[in-house]
Amino acid sequence: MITQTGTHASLLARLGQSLNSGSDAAWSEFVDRYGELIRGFCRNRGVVGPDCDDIVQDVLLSLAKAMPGFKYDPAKGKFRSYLKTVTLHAIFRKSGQKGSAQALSEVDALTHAAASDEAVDATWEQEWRRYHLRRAMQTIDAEFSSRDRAAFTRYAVAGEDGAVVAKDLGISMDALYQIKTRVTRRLAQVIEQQVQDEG
Amino acid sequence: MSEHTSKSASTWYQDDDLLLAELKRSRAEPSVAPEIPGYEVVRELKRGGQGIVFEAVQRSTRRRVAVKVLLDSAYYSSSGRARFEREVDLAASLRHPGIVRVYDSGLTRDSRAFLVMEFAEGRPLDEWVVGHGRDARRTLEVFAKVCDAVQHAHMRGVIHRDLKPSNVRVDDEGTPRVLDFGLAKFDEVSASRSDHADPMQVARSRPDVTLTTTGQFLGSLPWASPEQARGEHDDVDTRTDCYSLGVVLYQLLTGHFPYEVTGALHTALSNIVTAPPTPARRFREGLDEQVEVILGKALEKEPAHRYQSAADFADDIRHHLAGEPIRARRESTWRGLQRTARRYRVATAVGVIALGLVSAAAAVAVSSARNASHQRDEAREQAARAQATVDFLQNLLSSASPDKGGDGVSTKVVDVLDKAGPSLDTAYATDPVTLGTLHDMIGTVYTQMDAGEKARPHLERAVEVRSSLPRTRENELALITSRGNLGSLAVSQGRYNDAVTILREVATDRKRVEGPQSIDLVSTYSDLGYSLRRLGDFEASKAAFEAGRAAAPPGTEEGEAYLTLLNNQAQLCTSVNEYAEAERLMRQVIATRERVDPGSSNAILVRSNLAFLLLDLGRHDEAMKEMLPLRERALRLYGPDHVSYLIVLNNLGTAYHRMGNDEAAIPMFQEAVAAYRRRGALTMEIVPPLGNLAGSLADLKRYDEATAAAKESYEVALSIAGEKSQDSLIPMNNYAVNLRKGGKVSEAIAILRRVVQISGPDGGVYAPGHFQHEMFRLSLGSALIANNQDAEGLPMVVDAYQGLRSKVGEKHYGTIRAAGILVKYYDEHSNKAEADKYRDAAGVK
Repeated sequence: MITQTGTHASLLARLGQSLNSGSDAAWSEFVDRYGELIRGFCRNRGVVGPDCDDIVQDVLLSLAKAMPGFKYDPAKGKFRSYLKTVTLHAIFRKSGQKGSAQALSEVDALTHAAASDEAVDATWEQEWRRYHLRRAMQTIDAEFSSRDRAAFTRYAVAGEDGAVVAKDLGISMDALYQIKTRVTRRLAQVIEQQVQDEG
Repeated sequence: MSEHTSKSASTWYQDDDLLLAELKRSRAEPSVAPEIPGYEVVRELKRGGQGIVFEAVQRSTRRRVAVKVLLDSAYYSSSGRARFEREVDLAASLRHPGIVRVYDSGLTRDSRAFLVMEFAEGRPLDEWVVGHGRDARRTLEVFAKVCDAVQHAHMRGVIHRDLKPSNVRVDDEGTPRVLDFGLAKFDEVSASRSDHADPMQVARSRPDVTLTTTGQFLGSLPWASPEQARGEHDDVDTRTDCYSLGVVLYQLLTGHFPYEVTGALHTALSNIVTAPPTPARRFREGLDEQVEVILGKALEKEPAHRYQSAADFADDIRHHLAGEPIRARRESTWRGLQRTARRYRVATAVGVIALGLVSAAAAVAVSSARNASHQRDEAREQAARAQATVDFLQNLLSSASPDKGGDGVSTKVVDVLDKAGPSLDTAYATDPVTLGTLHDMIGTVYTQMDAGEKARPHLERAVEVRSSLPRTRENELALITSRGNLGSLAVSQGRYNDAVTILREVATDRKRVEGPQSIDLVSTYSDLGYSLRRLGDFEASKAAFEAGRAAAPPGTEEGEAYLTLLNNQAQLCTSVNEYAEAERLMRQVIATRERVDPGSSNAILVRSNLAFLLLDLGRHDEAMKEMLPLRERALRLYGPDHVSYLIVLNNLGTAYHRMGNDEAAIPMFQEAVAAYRRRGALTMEIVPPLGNLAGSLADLKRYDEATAAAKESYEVALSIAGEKSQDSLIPMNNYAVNLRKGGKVSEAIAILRRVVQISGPDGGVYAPGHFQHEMFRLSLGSALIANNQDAEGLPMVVDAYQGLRSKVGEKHYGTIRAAGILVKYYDEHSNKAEADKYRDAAGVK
């Protein structure tokens, strides 16, 4: 089961460190964490199927190459925007390969333009939030009982009728509210932690 | 980057309503349990780059299953869907107790593809192994079953491509089950033929349909094969799985990866492609040598050198577990053929020449990531060239069909080279660089196979072609290498004078181009010193060895080249009676080799050299203590037909013979001779055991058999090495001695006179004062006595006795034998006073 990372060290710094020092499974962590995020962003931009996978691999390779020399900057959003730029670059390069030959400078120019585009930013932000939610929900899954999770999912997320949910699960309405509050608060905490880690 | 996003990013989750709204919106995404028709999802088990795995219950049967929902949208289209179904059908067709079943597939409500699989109980393989204290035997037993399962899939055209411990579950009974074969790559072309074709052919052919996401491989990087790490997905085949299995086994047994794979990505990739595995026994002392050899075989960078199937892998493990010889060898015929010098009693490893072409290609692939464009071009050119060579090799090898028959690989290689050699110059007329490489390579291989006459034209052509290339440093080094190989050839053909001339020049040029220190320079000096010793120029030999030691770059004192040089220097020490120094050097070599490369055949050979030295020094008990364990060890490590084992047999037989136990010696020689005959065309290697067999048979007075063996030994040596060679003189001597003992004294004397003449100062085969010359005079003198020519024979024997005594000491078997002949002579002539003078020295009452 995936458990909480429980560290205040910057995720980026930790990854960079583990990449250099040889702690286990830095790769799977990379893929697991950012693979879906990048894939989701690609899909949003109309990239389909195997091309998404190529881009994921491309981005992760670029990241891993840059990681040892990547200076940790405590300014928030630094890594996120860096990752966005790398992903956009990979997408443009990919589409360049498909069409007529595209100069690298052109890819750079497109990347630069897109990186400061608000619509692109919104899409990226959306994927980023999903990414945090996905990860945080894994912690929730590990920490809460199946009953609590069912209660939360059905009542707070799916919007089912509270009375029905409470009855199905054999708990009081009061308990149902408490579960919703506890899980939501914990979710916020976990995401906060993740965001802090990410640098 | 933008102020707007970073501000909102820091707040959206702090507001409960916003947070829940985001969660609701993201519900359309695969993070929440999907609706799968007919199944009730219980919980999420695992998520990775490919998809998410849920535990679920099939509504109709209440069966507990695992459902994998794929993230990839490639299956949305009808053609994508068809591919997906084909893959699932294939996966579902795998029925093996070691493979997790695939039951079903379909689309979720939101059109994502899913697979329904058997729910595998148990723990991941690595956890299970740790839970059993990493017990080697149990690990190997379970692992062999994993190989069986993988083999089952391979036979049906399914490659896993992502084997790792977490993809194998082991239940409480110790039964492993492999997961995720459903996402293997499938070769539809070969599988469509599989009804009739050889299943191995199907399994080995290359897949051309990629169904698995490429991004996934990163997650399994530590277990990736070199071809995967190079990104050569077309080269992925069943042997890729064999490699990953090798990494898994290594990891299970040692708790480490065979090389560093957890560091920076580019380093990890490069390590997978080029770094040799750390000997497993560094991490786990006491791990059996055979297991180390098995791991080495599985982890060969080049697929052609690996286990060719998971079944082969499993077989070797089971042979090992049953205490039987394994099939894997430490060196394959192509890469590691060591040349064993043909000393009569002791085989001395002179050097190992690795072809290194394939790894060169790999190194280029990795280093081409560097940016400068000219470097890229150069790298590309080198890669293309290396590829041309590899292609050539592959064509060559595939035309040989090495799987057929079982009588020794080297004969097959000869056949192949014989066929390929003549067409080279036309095929590569426009590419002199590759042409030079190929001629050099083929010449080297012939040399290593004792086919010197075939080697020579290729090496000479390599020198010619390479001389014509533009004078870049690289080309010049290639030229020097080919000339060095010509020198090595001269050594192996016993043309020591030629060798010395060539090697001296090569050493000079190497120093000019590469500077005063390089490993190749060490090897050159080693060969040079060896040749000079064989010519009897001990002073110059010693100087060459010292120069070789000084040429070793720092940190290479544990390498093959340096140890070979030390070993050769030790042999020199025995030639000049510096026994203590010889022993010290040999022990140093043994200690280093066994620490660095515990299964090394060279360690075994040096140990037997040491045993002979001890025998020479009369330390019989110590000698046998060194010698006796070697047989068992070599048999286990190499099997009954391997040269290293046969050399050990010959040496052990010789030791028995020297200690007077011919009954024990004879079966050793016979076994070795029979094995060499099985290998096909006779080489110099059969000469020592044949000659020794003759000696032992003669001592048991089985003269007819003895003479036949001696005659064959003599004829083989003569046909390969010619008369004026140390390698022929000893068999000639032995043949003559047998003739004498069998009553054909005058015939024997004629041959022995020739031997003494050739070996003497005038012939130049040995240096003046070399003890071997005294040994021949002893043979001649004793034959003369037997022919009643005492006047000439007796002084010769007395002289030889004194010569031997001063040169090799009282305890040398030659000295003892000479004394024995004298005692016998004087006793027969009732001259007790003279006989008594030698009685003590002869060790007789």
